[in-house]
Amino acid sequence: MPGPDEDRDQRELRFRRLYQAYFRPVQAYAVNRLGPVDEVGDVVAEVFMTAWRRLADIPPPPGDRFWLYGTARRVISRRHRSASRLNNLHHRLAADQRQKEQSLAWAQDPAHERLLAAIAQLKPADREALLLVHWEQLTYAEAAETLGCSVNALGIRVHKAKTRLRQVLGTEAVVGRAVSAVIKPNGVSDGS
Amino acid sequence: MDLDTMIAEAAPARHVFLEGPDSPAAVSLYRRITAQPPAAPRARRRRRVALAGLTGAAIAAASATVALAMIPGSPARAPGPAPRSAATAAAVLARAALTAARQPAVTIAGPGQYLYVETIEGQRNSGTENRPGSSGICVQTVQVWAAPDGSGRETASAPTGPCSDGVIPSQTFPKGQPVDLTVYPGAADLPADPAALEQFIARHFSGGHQDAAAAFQFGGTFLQSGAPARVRAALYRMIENLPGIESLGPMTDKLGRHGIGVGLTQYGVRDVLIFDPATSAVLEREGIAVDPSQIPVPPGAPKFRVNEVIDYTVYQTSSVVNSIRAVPSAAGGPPSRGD
Repeated sequence: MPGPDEDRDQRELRFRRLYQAYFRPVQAYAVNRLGPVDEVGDVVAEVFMTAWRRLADIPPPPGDRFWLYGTARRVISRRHRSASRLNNLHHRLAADQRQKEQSLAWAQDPAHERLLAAIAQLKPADREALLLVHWEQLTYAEAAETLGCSVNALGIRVHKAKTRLRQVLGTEAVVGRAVSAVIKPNGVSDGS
Repeated sequence: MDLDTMIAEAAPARHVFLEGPDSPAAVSLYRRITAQPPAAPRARRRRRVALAGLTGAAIAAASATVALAMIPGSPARAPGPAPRSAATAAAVLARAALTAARQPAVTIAGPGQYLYVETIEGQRNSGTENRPGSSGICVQTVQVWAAPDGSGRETASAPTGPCSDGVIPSQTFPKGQPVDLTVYPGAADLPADPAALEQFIARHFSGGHQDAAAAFQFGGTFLQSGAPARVRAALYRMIENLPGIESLGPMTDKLGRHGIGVGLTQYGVRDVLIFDPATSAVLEREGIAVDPSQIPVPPGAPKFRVNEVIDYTVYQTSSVVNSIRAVPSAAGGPPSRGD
């Protein structure tokens, strides 16, 4: 039977592997949900602190990655009401641009701005499904496991999110805002 | 550019520099984390219970459904009377174990059913050193539907009181994932032996090491999670045997219900559990700061004051329901809200 020191060594070895493999992905998840704000560091710290405390509960790969994303999601939602937080993302990014013009040059792109604003308007469940697939690059099955829903349900959420994005961006085109280069109302890209 | 590509391109993380795990900041964080003892530190927020090791398919419901009026934003109340002897606590808890064992059989949640628990959750808003006046208790009524497999849903009412630290969100829980609840969905399958219960808590919730505060916290959670009578009796016996357990005598919870209080002080916090001696049902749990120097607070937040209530959970209703949106007819909570 392993002694306390051996237990501790094994525990730290497993945690070190998790930390090395997922420090960036967890950080990216937090940036994608909160924007590049100082709070990202707090979220990452809380996620890995939770992982350290709850190491025995973390499933083996590849489930460990989904567990960390799920924990990050709860950490963020607990710290803030996620919907209102993301609704403000676009505005905060715009404010950050003034201070970090170089690093956030992408956000000055009107198409990006409109898309981020449209994403922020999605229903939270649909938005999270969409972002796990397109921003965290999970497969539908992996995203479904992360969210605890069926693959079919996940697919429906992503589909609804994309449909809504097309509607929102298309509506903007109708009212005369220059989004034709982004996406057309029928969802067909213009080849730009 | 098609929509999929556009969405992917819009990811903020693609456009900012991300630190690697070997960066100085990441290495420093790693050292801070692994310097922590393996035992789970106290969670001074909501009790988090994971579904680790859940194998059974049944959950028992708590025996009584009690609907009571909601309370307004609860100010910190005076702490209980001076602790009595450990021997008194042992006697009180031994009687509670006997009472628990005599309670009628409880309903077990089957497939498609949920354990519904309604609580009032209070968490102290820390305020800031510059704005100490923003300190106070943030109160929400929380409804939880927990399936035997750990999936479920919780809805939280609009908060009252100062809540700038963040509030409990309404959210769903996937099967088998860590659950942020005040209930444990696998309570029906817990061992009915005090020592085995303590080992179970150590194995699953405190990093493999026995910790009296963790055993007291999770024991309290299990007591109101629909455990069978024999498990509830064993939980009271487990608490009875915890080192440092003390009797707090007759107490009244925030809904005015009378009960008996027991407490355990560790890491600068006295955890208090108030139960009804007639039924053994838990009425309320709360944490009180007794040594603020030991209690971590967020950067910029003032320390707790001595005898200040840190957080509490008042148990209102517990019952088995047939759907994830059903509410027992006697429940007094706000209308459920999907998320």
